[in-house]
Amino acid sequence: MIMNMRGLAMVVTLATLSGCAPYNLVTLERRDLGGFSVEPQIEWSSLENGGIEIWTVHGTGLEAVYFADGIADGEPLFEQRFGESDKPLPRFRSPMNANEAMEFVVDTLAISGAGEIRTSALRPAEFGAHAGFRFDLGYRDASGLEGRGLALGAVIDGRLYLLLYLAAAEHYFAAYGGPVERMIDSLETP
Amino acid sequence: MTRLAPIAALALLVSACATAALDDGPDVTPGEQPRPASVEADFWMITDAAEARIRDSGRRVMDPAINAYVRRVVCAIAGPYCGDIRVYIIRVPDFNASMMPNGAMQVWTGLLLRARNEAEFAYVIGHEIGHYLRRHTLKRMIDLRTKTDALVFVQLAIGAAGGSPLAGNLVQLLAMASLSAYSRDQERESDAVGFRLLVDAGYDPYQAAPIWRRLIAEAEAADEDQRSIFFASHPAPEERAETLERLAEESPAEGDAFEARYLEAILPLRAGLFRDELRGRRFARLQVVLDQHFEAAAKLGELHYIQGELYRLRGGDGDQALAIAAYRRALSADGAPPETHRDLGLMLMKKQQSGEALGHLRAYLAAMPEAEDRAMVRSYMARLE
Repeated sequence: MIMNMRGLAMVVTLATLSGCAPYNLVTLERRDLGGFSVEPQIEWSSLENGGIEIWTVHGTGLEAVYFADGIADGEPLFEQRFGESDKPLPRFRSPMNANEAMEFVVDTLAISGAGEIRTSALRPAEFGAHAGFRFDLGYRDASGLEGRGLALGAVIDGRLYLLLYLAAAEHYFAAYGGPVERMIDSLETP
Repeated sequence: MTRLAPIAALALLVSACATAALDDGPDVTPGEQPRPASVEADFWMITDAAEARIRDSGRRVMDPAINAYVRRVVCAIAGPYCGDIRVYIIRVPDFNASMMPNGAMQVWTGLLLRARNEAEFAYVIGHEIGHYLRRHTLKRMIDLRTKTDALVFVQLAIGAAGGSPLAGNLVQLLAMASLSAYSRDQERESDAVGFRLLVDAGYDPYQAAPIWRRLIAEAEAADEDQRSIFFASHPAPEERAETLERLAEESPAEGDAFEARYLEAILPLRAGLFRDELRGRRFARLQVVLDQHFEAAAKLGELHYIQGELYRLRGGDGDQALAIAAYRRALSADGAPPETHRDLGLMLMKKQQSGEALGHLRAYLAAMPEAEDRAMVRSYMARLE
């Protein structure tokens, strides 16, 4: 080895977020996520880790919906560090436009261990009553597993609100894509 | 004090044989396989499993051109061992390369971006092959096992003698330091082997040291002290650079650095590798790497764009103006990517310079009508119109 070897341990995925946090049942009733609410469509298991709420059915390594409830200027997407310990997590900046908000999400995923991240179709989208943005993404996790995702977000009063769906490309992304799309359709802001 | 004396003696015992095994045993021979049921065969099995994980890693670079190029350099340096070495280029924005005892070599993309020419890169490859030829991993594992066994024995002895936990920690610290010293000696040995392989392959011997000098500059720029007396497993970069400079002065050999063909090989990847570095947001370090590429002056438009991106992402006082100036320089130079227009346009939009912003966003879509963010860019334009 030439320099300090942190090894491939750095190549972790967001699955790490699941940690040992306790899971709670998300029932079908409309749920307030702090700044916006959705109808869950199906029953999910929820946990809170890294300062954000996460919903999953089979485990976060297979499919997960991440909800960011208003990230303020200077805050990272996740409060915790994952993977590469010597690189600072990207920080949200209030004047970010949609391109920069997408970059903020993608760079956070990259620092957290996702590889070959490819974004597509960044487009305007409604976030409840607000003008927001939406994009799709593909990536590979630490073990080389292909992943797909989509994000819907908006910067409202200088804070970033986000719904991020990440799942294994094989089977899981499509299997829970329907409920996620309907959940997006049900999204309301006060 | 009297009770500490035997503890100190035991601690010395643990740390003593730091370099004893370093020169033991023959080098690996071309095509060599470990004897079945040997310690080495056990280690190979473990490393074969680790290699499988690297092979499937989501971070592996699959581009055939860069793989073929790196392979050629490895074979030029490895000579008869070429067939025994499998190279995996891994997309990690840090300076590193490593070699497993079974012949699996990892090259991180941060190294590709930081080498200035083929000779610098070849030297690092030679250093790694030095570890392989001298069976360093195997020796380190045996050393580790010996010292940790001794450590357990000493700690038990301290416990039996009613020694304090602090004394146990001291012994542990000395054992760790001893392991690190062993590792540093291996690094020195590999530096020497790497230098010999570099010269034998016809490269310029003066290209071995400069990469260390620049790594020192990079670390100093970040004002980070990454070295520790006890736990640094590598010799200080200053010492390595000085040793390699002395070896070059003593060497009668001459050779080429092959800067042009190295740049030709990495240029298609360079923008992507800089993007990986930008994601790490270590701006001071990145500036040193960027300055190195400015010196080589290939595709300056791309470099000015990356400079603009560095300022935009750093986002400090005055950085917006610096970014705008850098994007403008990019557009007047060769090789600026179309995204320069978009990012300049978006920044001008923030500064309420709507007319010029609109012009650049139009230029972006004209250059990239199928851009993945075209719908969003059109919505920005609608706001400006």
